[in-house]
Amino acid sequence: METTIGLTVTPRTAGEGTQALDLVGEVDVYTAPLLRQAIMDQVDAGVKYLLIDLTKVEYLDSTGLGILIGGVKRLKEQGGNLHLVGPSARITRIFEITGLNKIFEVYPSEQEALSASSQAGAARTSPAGGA
Amino acid sequence: MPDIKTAAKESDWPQRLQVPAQPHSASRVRAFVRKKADAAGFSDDDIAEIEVAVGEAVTNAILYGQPRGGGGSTSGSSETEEDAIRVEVGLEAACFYIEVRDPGPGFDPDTVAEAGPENGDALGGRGLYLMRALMHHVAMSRDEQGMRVRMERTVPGAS
Repeated sequence: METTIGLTVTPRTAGEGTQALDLVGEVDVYTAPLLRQAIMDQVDAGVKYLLIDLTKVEYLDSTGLGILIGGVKRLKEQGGNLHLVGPSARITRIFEITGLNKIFEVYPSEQEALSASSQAGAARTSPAGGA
Repeated sequence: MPDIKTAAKESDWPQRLQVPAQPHSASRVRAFVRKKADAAGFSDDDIAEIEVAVGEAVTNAILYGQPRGGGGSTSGSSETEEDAIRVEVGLEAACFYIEVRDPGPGFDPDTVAEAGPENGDALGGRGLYLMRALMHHVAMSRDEQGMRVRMERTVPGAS
């Protein structure tokens, strides 16, 4: 677990081939470097599918949005993806205003995000997949 | 008619706060403005939007508001430890306003690439867009003292 005053980021295994980062607190100009590093650690470790659990995030602004966009780009370059789980209505509104709800795959629950990740992984590994 | 229970007295305004141009100042400014917006009579959802707009303005001041351009450092120095960012929150009739000033060279908002929904996955540039989307009026100006951002939002139900 890594903590900066205002934000805690806890990595864990969410499912086969999928890691999760549980965030608690606020993502702003002060805490965003912690999130950036946590995502890069996962990318460097070869993780392809990453869930960011936003259930307990109370505040997120454009600094955090930039970090998440950087993360999704890196993971897609590696053939994976970054999924967001459980944002509050207020944070969902920030995604909607900025149009990023069309860039990110956002799921209300981890189970639904995992299901999407496993289906995407199966599509990539199956000979018949990816059509 | 304003909500008498929550509406603040005219004599309570404006309220001021000065903080160092350091990343850790952002949450302090947001907490200050949240409290004032609550006193002005905004709903929790409105306050959350105002908080994001203020967070964007303060982030710009922290990152770009250094007189010599060294903003955003977390290492600290005598120069950045000064209370360089000045915040004023006021209520004029039904207009709740927030001003954020910094001593930096500022920027011309007309020349900044602003990222909205049409810009897809651009990494940055959403701060100005969010400020304008979440507040009713946003004005930016520069003078010899630095950059000034003024944001306004009408208090709902106030006359």
